[in-house]
Amino acid sequence: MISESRPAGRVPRRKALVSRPTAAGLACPPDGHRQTDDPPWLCDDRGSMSIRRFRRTLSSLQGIFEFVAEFMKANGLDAAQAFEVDLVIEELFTNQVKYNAEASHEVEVRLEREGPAILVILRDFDVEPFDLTQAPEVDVSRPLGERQTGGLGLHLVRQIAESVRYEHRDRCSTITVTLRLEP
Amino acid sequence: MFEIRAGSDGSIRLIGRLDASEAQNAMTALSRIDHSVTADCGELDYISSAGLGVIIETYKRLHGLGFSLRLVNVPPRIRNVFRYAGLDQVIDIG
Repeated sequence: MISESRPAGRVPRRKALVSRPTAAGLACPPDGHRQTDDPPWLCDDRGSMSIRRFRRTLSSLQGIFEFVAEFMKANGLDAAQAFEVDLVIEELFTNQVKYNAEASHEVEVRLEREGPAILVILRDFDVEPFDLTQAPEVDVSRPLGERQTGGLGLHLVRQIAESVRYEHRDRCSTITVTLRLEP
Repeated sequence: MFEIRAGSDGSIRLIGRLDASEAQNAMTALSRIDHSVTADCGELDYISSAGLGVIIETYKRLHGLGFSLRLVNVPPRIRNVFRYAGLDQVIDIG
């Protein structure tokens, strides 16, 4: 586990970036494929959990943002706080699209309300492992001309999230991000 | 949906959501600017790292030509993103 100090601002105080198994019940299906009887999205009776799968293309972003907006509304959450949820999902989703361009499976996005937090869980099927929690940190204090290319999106996720967890099992990558809601 | 509107005084307004799906079009539009410019962000609803990349490249290009890029009316959440990226120490954010 890597613990990091948090910069000043509205972001939460505690943070952890870890690579370990995620919550029970999130194991990939054996073949990593969507089941034929799966609905395009699921929502439990309390509206506190939603799942949807998206084609791995940037044109899916609009649908992802709408999915987040629906989740926020269903849970009575301030629509303004969708900003951070959208940002985290976009950065992780575009990474998956960029670095697993040959993959053909849809990416699963799952949102869960957990007390004062939202869990953002992205699952990418039939892919090689890439543990983003081990990716080097970007030094944003350096002059623009001296900064390395790439890594800014993950840096933003780390700044916003309370924790980021990664698991790769049965050729399925699962990223779980915990976002603390504003009171 | 993202849009750039030019003002009569040479300023521009950034409107909507500057995400990865809009970054290329935004980059193309901003590449036509060849003077110092003030960008009003009052109607900018969202920005991601892809959008920051557009702003960074525009800033570097204009700076290299001896011009400036100034952002004004930046909403708090978007200002936070610039701050997380360390850009508030580089780009003039009024």
